[in-house]
Parts: sequence; C-alpha cells; structure tokens
Amino acid sequence: MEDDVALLNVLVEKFTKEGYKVATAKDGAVGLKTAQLERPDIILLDIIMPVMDGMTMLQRLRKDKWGAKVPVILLTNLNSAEKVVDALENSVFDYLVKADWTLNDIVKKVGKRLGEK
Amino acid sequence: MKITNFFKIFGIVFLLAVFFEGVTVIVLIGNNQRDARIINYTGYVRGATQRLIKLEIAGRAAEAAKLSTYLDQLLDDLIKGDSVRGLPAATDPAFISQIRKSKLAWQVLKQKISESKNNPALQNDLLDLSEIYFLTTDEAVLAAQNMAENKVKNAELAQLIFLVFELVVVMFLGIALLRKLNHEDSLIKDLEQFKLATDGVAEHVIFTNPEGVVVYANKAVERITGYSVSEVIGKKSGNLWGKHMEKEFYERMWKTIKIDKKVFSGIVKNKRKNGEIYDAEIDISPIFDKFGKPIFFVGLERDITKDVALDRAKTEFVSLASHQLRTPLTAISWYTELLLNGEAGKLSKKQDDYMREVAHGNRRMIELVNSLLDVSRMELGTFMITPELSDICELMEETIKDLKPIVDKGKIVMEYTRGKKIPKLLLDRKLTKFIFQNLLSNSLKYTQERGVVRAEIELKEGNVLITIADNGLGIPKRQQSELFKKFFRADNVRAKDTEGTGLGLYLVKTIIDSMGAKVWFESEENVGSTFYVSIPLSGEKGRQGEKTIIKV
Repeated sequence: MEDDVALLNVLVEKFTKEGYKVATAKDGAVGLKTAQLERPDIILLDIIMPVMDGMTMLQRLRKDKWGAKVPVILLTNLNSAEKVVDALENSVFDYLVKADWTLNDIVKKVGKRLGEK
Repeated sequence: MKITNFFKIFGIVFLLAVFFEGVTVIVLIGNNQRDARIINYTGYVRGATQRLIKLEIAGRAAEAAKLSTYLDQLLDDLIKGDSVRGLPAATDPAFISQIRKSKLAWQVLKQKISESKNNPALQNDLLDLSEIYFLTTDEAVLAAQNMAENKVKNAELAQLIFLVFELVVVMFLGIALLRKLNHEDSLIKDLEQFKLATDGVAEHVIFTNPEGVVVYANKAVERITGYSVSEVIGKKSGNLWGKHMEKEFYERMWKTIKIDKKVFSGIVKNKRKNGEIYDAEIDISPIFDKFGKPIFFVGLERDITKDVALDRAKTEFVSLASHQLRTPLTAISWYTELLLNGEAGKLSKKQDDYMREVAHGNRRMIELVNSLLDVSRMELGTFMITPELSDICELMEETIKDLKPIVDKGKIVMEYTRGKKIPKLLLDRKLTKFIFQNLLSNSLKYTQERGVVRAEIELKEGNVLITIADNGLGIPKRQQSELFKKFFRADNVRAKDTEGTGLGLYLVKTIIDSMGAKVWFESEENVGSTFYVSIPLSGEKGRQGEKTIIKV
C-alpha cells in the first residue's frame, strides 16, 4: 500500500520480478478491502496516505480475525515516536524508513519473514 | 507605619523619659555634696543606655548584658551609696522615690531593648527616636547642672523646667513621627510606581502569603486567567486557576519553595475563568525574613499556550518535511538501483558510471536530510534515551564490523583493544552505536591510506573510557574550540573532502551531554586526533521524549 505512484510502481516491478504476486492499493480504505479480499502473506504498508492513513488501516485490520495475524512491515519516510509506539502496539513486524533501504534489502527482509513462517 | 509599632516606639520613648527624668531629678534634689558626682553619673547613664541599644542591634549580647548589669548596679548604688564611687547612702525620701521610679522604668526599658533584638525595624526606630530624645535631654541636664551649681533647691521649679524640656522632646518626637509618616508616604509612592511597573509587565505576577493566599496581583493576571484582580486578592490561586496537575506536582512545588527554600520552575496546565485550559511556564520564588521564615511567595507565570502550539507546528513541519523530502529521494534511489541492477537492460560502461554518480549524489542528499532531521529532533528535545544493560565492547565490535568495507577500502590498520573486566552498563544501544560510528568513521575518513585507527575500551577512575585515535589529518589548533559546533568543518578537512555536513560531531556532543557522559579530544594537525568518551559506571542517563530512529 503506497500512495506515491512512482514508489508503488517500482515496488510492484521489483517484487513481481522476484516472483511475488502483488496486490496494490493507493489508500488505506481500498487497501483494507483489498487485503481482506486477497488475504496476502505479508503487507507492506505506508503511513501517510489519503482517505485512510496507514495506522488507522492497521488498527482496523487488527480487529479482523485473519487481519490480526498477518505480518505487516511499515514502509514509510516518517520517523516520529507516536508512530513507532502505535506500530509496536499493533504488532508490526518491522518499521523501515524507505529512503534508507534499498529494494534488494526490502525484498530480503520480506523473504526472511516469509521463510520464518 | 503599623499602628502597633507606633505605640511600641512611643511607649519606649516614654520610658526613656521617665528613666532620665528620674536620674536627672536626682541632680536637683540630691544633697549638695553629692550633686557634682551624681551629675556625672547622669551623663554616664545616658551614654550607656544608648550604647546598650547599639550593642543589642549589633548582636553583641555579652557586652550588652555586662553594660546592663552595670546600669542596674549604678541605680542601686545611688540609693545605697557606694564607697568605691564615694557616694553616701541616700536619705532624702523624694530622692529615693525618684530613683525607684527610674529604676522601674529602667527594668521595662531594658526589656524593650532586648525585645527589639528580633525586630530590626523597631531597633532602628528605637535608636532614631532615643537619639532625638537624648539630644533634648542634653539641654535638660545642662540646665539641671546650672541649677545645681546655683544652688537652686526648688525641686518644683526644676520639675517645671524639666516639663518644658519634656514638651520639647515630645515636639521633636512629633517631628520624627511626621518624618516617619512622610517616609510612609514615599513608601506608598514607591508601591504605586511598583504597581505601575508590574502592571506593564506581560507576565502574570502574584504575591501570596505563606499559606498561598494572594496579597497582590498585577494586571496580566486578569488578562491571562480572566479573573479580575479584586476577585483574586484574598483567595488561594489553587482554588482559582490551579489544581489541574497531578497531586505530586503541587507537592513537589511546595516542598521546593517551603522546605528546600528554592525557586520552583515548571510548566503547568491552568484553567481560565471561562473554563479554557492553558499552558503556563511558572517560577515561584520564596522570600524569607532573616530568620529563614517565609514571608511571602512571588509567583511569575507566562502563558505559553501559543509557544506550545508553535512547537507542535514545528514538529509537524519536521515530520512533514521528512516525508516530503524523502519520498522523491526514495524514488530516485530505487529507480537508480533497478537501472544499476540491469533490470531495465544492461547499461554501457558510461551509463553505469553516470548512474553511480546519481546514486552517490542521492545517497548524500538522503544522509543530509536524515542529519537535519536528527538535529531538529535534538533541538526540539524530542529524542528519547532508553538505556538498557548492555555490553559496551559488543557495541564497539558491531560498529567496527559494520565499518569493515571502509577500513578495507582505505587499507587502514584497525586496532582494537578490549579492556578487561568491563562491566555491563546501562546504555542506549542505538545512540551509543551512533556515537561510535560517527567517531570511527571520522577517523577512517580523515586518515591516509595505510594509516592506523585505534579503538580502546578501558576502566578508568570509576568510568568507562573509550578512546578512538587516528594518525590522520588532525584538527588545526585555532579551530579546535569550534569542533562541536553545528555545521562546523575544519579547513584542512574541507579541502580534502567536500562531502561532510558538519553535523556528526555536533550530534555526538549533544547526545553525550544529554546522557550525562563526557566527550573531549586531543589533536595536532598532520599528526592525528584522539577522541575520548567517558561514561560513568552508573551508565547513561535516560530521557523521556519522542523515540528517535537514528539510523545506525
């Protein structure tokens, strides 16, 4: 889930190339529906998004029986405290600052998380 | 002047009058043969009494007591007679009765003098007024002496003369009192000026008595709290705008001002008359008398609601900027990565070179944004230090491992000495690694190829001392005092490497200062630099705040 088209496209391209099946959404509301419908193995979630932001989406997701367990990696360019605390309370697997991560490393991180499962 | 003080002073002067009248009348009705001596003693008594007051004021209690006993004795001797002084015992009943009267006055006067010990205002008044009194009695004594010499035996006439002088004394006292009242007038004038001045102050100013009841409030109180000055006076501020903080906060406040006798400063939430909650910065200063008892408290309060909002806006701006700046940088970073990975087709040598330049430039930009964000978080004070029991050597080793690519690239010799028996310490792992990484990467960056960088951890004088030394460029002497300043970069370093931001050491110093540790260095240009970090065995001090995600 990513509202910036340039970033969304490059992530889709990279993950598709790595053999993942990717579903996308550009806001939290659509993202929540898509997630509940597609039930992905992992969710990469941006925080600042229109309509519904990532944290609200996450809170709603965690109320759902399936959504309570799905691993979520927060992928954002924000770094502020409340967000981290919120994220931890909602049992987020990881919190990555986009600008500091290469695509390769993100793919590795996702692979590792899914491999552990 | 308080009315009670007025009576006290008047009473004392009256006693002085009775006392001296007694002693002086002795002169007039005493036996001829005794006159001359007794006149001398009258002078004595006067001088001694004034001296006694001065001694009490100066706190020379022992001398005062001695003098007081001497005066007691003298009055007794005047009746009983004293062979040493050559005084025969008194026989004249009028004389004895006068002496008794003045002795009684002396007892009360003595008591009053000693009471004035605890009342500096009364002491000064006492001295002022007794001086005026004594000046006039001088003339009375002189007249009495003349009369004695002229063998004036008419005691009644003498009494009359004395009465006239008494009247003069009372007149003088009246003038003195008027002067006092004038002084009072000027005090009122001062007070009015004080009120004008404090009313012009933007801060809310109140004075309360030791029980917290407001005795004075300035105009700003009305503006800030919404209560009028007349509504505030005579009430406890806690019952008006206060009591919106935890109970412990107020307990701490009272303890600071009443028991520790210190100024209390803090930030509180208060409530205006209209129910609106506002943020205020307060300073409460206790004012004590010279015995250490609080007389009143001065409370200053500044409405910082707007500042708090501004601070919040600043934080929001920083987080917004971090998002807005980093999103396009991320796009550049990720697309460049795809291109360099050949995922859009193989690049020519030249294309590859150019893309690497783009990636490098972009990386620098991201790092600059990150550093600026760290700086603004430091300056907003919103970063948190969360120490946990950690192995400091392990943190150092991890950092050295992370930096291995740079060490290898520069063919630098990296030496590391791990001290023996270094205990686990309370450390914020991320920030500690941030510090090590900054210091080490500086050393690596500014050391020539095949140079030596040395890291050491040891126990020294109750602290853990971390030494990071290099034989690199060094810092020019004249610029050493600037080293930890924001955006500062030494000239020799600027010339060699144009990429630094000048923020690393500033951040290192800010973090180390906030965690109660120390950092310093020794350096010589072209010889090398040695940085020291000293962490107490009690570990790094924690700090509440926003979680920092300093990249390590």
